[in-house]
Amino acid sequence: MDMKRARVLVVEDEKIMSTFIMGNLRRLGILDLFAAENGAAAWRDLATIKPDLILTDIHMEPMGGIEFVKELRACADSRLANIPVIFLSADSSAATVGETLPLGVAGYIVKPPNLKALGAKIEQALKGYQTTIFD
Amino acid sequence: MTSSPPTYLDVELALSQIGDVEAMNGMMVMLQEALVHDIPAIADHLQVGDIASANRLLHGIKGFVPIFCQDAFCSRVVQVEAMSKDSQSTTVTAAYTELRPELDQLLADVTAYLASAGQSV
Repeated sequence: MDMKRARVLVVEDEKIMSTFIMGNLRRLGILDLFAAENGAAAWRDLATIKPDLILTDIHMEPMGGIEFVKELRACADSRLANIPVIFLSADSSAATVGETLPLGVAGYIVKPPNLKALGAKIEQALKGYQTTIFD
Repeated sequence: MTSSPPTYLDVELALSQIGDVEAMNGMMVMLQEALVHDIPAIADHLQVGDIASANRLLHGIKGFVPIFCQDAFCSRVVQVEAMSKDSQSTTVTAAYTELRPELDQLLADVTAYLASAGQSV
């Protein structure tokens, strides 16, 4: 899928970071953008938005990114359950990265995302690649 | 002769990462609002021993300072945020007491930038 035609859901509770990520996605030519302020809000709106890709933070209240993606992967609707996910977090600890790996992660980017790396990771994710490497 | 205080805000770095001045100025306003709230709030949380709440705010700051600041300062924020995950309250409070003047200076830098850009709030 052409990155510029993708519908992307950004799940981020920090206003500055959400604005930064959305701005960078627009710079990459991705204009079909939705935002949710935590995993619970994303989960609530997921079936309506039907994103092609999800970029999510990890540490959020009341539902964090890992819990949200666990719910997503367990979803009965396979179109939703298989949406590629890229984690974006300031937490680069091995323990947290390790927790994301069984979730079919398409990428793990340490904040703030570098525009070039973000674009490359999104292209890979939309082609269906999974990774065990974080940028 | 008096020396200028160190400047923590790197406008060129922020512009290179954000892409255009208008968007950057909008984010500077958000940064100012966040720092005005978070700097004293972290101290308040630490004063009552609520390390978890202090950690949440430090974690947020750790995420966004690399957009606006050089690595050396970001590293100090990372250190204090890491301490707030698993160190005792007195240790974290001491580390934050050292970091706070730098955060205050960053806020002063942002406020001065916004005033010069006609964006003060």
